[in-house]
Amino acid sequence: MAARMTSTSTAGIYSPATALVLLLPLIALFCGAFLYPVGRLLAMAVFDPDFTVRHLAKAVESPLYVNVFLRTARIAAAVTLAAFALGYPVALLMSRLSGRAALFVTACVLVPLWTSVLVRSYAWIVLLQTNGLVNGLLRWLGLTEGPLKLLYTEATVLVAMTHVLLPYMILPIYGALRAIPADYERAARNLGAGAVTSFITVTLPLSLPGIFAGCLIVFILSLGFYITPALVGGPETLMAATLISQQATELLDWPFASALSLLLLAGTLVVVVVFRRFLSLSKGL
Amino acid sequence: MRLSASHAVIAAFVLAAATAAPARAEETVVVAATGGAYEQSLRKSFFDDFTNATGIRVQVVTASAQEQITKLKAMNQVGAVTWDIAVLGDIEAHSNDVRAMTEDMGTFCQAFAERKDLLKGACDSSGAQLNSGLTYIVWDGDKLPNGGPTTWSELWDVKRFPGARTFPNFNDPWRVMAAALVADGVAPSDLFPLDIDRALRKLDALKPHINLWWKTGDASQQGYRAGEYVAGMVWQTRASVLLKEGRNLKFSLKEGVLVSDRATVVKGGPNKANALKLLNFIENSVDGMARHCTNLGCTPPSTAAMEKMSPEDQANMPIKPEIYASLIIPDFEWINANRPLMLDRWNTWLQK
Amino acid sequence: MNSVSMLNDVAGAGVAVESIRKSYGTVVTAVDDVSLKVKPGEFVSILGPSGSGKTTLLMMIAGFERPTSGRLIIGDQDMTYTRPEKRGLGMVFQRYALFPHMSVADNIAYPLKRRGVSRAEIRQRVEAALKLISLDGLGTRMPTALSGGQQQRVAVARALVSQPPVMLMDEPLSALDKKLRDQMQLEIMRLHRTVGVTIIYVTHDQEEALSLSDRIVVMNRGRIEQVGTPDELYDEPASAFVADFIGRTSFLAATCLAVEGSNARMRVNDATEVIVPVSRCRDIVVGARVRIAVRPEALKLAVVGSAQLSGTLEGSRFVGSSELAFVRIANGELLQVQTEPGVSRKLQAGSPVGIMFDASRVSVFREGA
Ligand SMILES: Nc1ncnc2c1ncn2[C@@H]1O[C@H](COP(=O)(O)OP(=O)(O)OP(=O)(O)O)[C@@H](O)[C@H]1O
Ligand SMILES: [Mg+2]
Repeated sequence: MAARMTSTSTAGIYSPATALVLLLPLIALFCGAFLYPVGRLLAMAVFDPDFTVRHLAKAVESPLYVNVFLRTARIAAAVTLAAFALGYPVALLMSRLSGRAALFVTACVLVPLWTSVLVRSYAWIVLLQTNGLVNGLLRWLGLTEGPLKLLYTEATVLVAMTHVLLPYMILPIYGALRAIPADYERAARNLGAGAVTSFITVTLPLSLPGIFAGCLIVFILSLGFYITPALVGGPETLMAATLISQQATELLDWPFASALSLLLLAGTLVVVVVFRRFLSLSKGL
Repeated sequence: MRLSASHAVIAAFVLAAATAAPARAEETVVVAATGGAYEQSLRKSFFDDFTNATGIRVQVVTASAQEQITKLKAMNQVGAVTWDIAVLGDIEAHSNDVRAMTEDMGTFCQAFAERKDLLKGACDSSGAQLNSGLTYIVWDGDKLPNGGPTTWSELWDVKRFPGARTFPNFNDPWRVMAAALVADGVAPSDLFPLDIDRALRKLDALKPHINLWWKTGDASQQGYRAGEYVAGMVWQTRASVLLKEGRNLKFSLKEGVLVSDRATVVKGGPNKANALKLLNFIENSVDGMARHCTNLGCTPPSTAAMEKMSPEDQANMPIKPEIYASLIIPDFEWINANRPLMLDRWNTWLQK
Repeated sequence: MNSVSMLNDVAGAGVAVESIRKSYGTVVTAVDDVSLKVKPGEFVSILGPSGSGKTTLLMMIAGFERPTSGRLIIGDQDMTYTRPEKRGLGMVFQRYALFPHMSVADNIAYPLKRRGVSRAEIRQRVEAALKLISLDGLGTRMPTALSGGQQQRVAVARALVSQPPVMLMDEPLSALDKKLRDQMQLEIMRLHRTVGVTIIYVTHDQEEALSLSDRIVVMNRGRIEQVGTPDELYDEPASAFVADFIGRTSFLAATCLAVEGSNARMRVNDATEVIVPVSRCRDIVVGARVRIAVRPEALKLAVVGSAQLSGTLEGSRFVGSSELAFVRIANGELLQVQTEPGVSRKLQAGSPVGIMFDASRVSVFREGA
């Protein structure tokens, strides 16, 4: 994608064998610390100890679990959309700024990333609680009489998750935008396109790889989001990760927890594949 | 970030357990317990004295009760147990899952059979009780100046006691169901087996008034400070923190849910002998028990310990016979057997 | 040629740059008080070393940079602050800037779509343009599937298809190899002749500028050093910089001894005296230190003693139809001397040689000017 345009490749400098040797530690770490435990965990879903689809069937048949998965997907999609709508303009701004201003905006995007999710979620509690800042402001402005119920709702979960995940949307889009040579937009302007037209016909399509990457990351992270919904969500905002953790840590029903994880993982993979397909189509390959 | 919480947690457990090197020069004993004030109190009330008396260092691993069980299970699966003692809720300590991973403490308890001061069940095959605490009714004395709800049925009465309610929602719904049943007229002694349908029907009526479903003790405290509720069900330990802050919080011991914490020896731990020494030390340390419960606002498992506490503290303990008779006492066996069912029904109800 | 006829009915427009200046902050002045008049249909190259402000000047003409001061008139309109898309200029970028997500045909159709040309006409004109650049049939290819030369031609077609009166090109050939570059130069010249568009062409390659342009603008440090036809620049450079920058030049340090009628007497090398026509000198005063710029073809090897200068042969180089001899003279200066093929290479390096020079073909500049 972006690399194709700048085309600075080190391919050919290192032989495949050298590259493999250099990669070995990473491969070992990946297999030992990720593939093996996850594989074992997922195997639990279908071997108990012999092959069985009992646990999977339980997950698929119960309306509770189906509903939770559907809600999780819906919230993840909504968060992705919101993060895109808010994040793209910021990424665009970042890619156009230089010097101090660029540093400032980049810091504004990155600093929250270095702050714990817990802290950022608590910040929303402080803002939105019954006697919180937002309610106080609304009352002071005379817009509301009694306090509004802003916390512990699905809308709050959306707002807080979007906030927490926003950098993951901004950074890939920013990267894609930065990789677009300024000449493309100049060429478009020169050829008669106004600022808006040149953005729509040139900049936006060329930033698609970044958009897809950002959306994919945010969507996948949302699917497994745990802390924020638990803190700012109401009891009805039960999401897949919470459900899995209940099964794993409360009920110690690991096979069933694995079955749920397997379904979540499968759903995630489907999304990845669909996104990739979308991406390759958009590149016209 | 958590792609999937359980993946990450379990992968980490397996790894941590498999790689932890059991290399120790001095005598130690490893205790897993929830951190924070609880860990501090254990240290000041028991562990420091124990180390002074025996020279055995007490190393505390911080983990919530649920994390402890999950980690224990993971450590058992890879055959590398690194803890000696786990401090768990009474109900969990009695579950089959946990019993399979902990020593039978029956023999250990025989040494204390003659102790008249120890409450019934203070020491049993699932371990030694450290403290008991209530989950009870509290209300805001400022918002309900003429008295608040003192029983569950009064808590349900939103006409007499108007205002937002709070209840716990930490994946352990039996307390709320039990309270609902008592509010609906079931005698505390006849609660088990819980009539889940009836409990949820009773809860339907109150649901619109429940503003805060707290998941952590902190959330219940913070919710009170922020005025998120006027009355509801919270932990006694958290209420006493609010009281110490000087807040006008009122509480009712009546019909409280009594649950204790139990320390037990883990099977296959590296320092089993030291673990038994530590539990033995605790059972004999009536002073320590008194200090521990003075710190935390809990009830010690020994009447002798209770007598060493201040009159105010004693007044806050559910030991008067008429109060004690009204308490909701968990049926470990039924709760452990019906956890998945309860959680399923609970989740479904919450999302209605 | 039908395909060309549809492009050549547009007349090139004149471009007038009036005292334009462009500063970045307070330190950098990229273009410093530049004035330039380009006639309709003219091919003007802007030539200069790296960092001399060529691109900046072109960007201001195209509308991508705002001049700090000065005026820009295209055709008969003041366009100093007109938005780029309203200027109607064609532009070819150094790296072509073909839209990588559009096919070749879509790239060429882009400016037509922006102008609301009908679909049928777009198809027709794109086809004609493809034929013009001899890429018929490749319209559905993506730009990345084309060779550098082909991409280059597509970029030219895209810039020309909307029949702009002026076309701007910023080093359009610098990414091509030598052979392809020569071939593309011919194509650009052909296009310029057939289409009649005014071309402003930025390059730092003097040969390219010399062979393509009607006139050349030599820039140095943001300023114009000289504007003239290739012949003027070569034969009558206005400054030592131009003399040095264009063609091969050797410099001789000298002192002006006297001006006698239409001749100036100079002492070169603290010994030899030479007579140079005053017409070849720029603001010379008697007694001044000067530099004499000499082209290799104005110098001849001669027998030592009978020659004006003497020195040592350091080496020689074959340059196609002739040879260049490198001769170090006594004061340490190195002169390039053109000889017949085979002449200088017969001599051994280190041999003493004499040099004659044709005083009517040198240029003399004040030292430090
Ligand atoms: N955006 C900018 N900010 C500051 N200085 C700049 C900027 N753009 C150009 N300059 C400076 O202005 C001067 C002229 O730059 P310009 O790009 O016009 O040179 P050029 O003649 O095109 O050089 P080249 O042959 O290397 O392309 C240079 O010193 C450059 O560093
Ligand atoms: Mg340039």
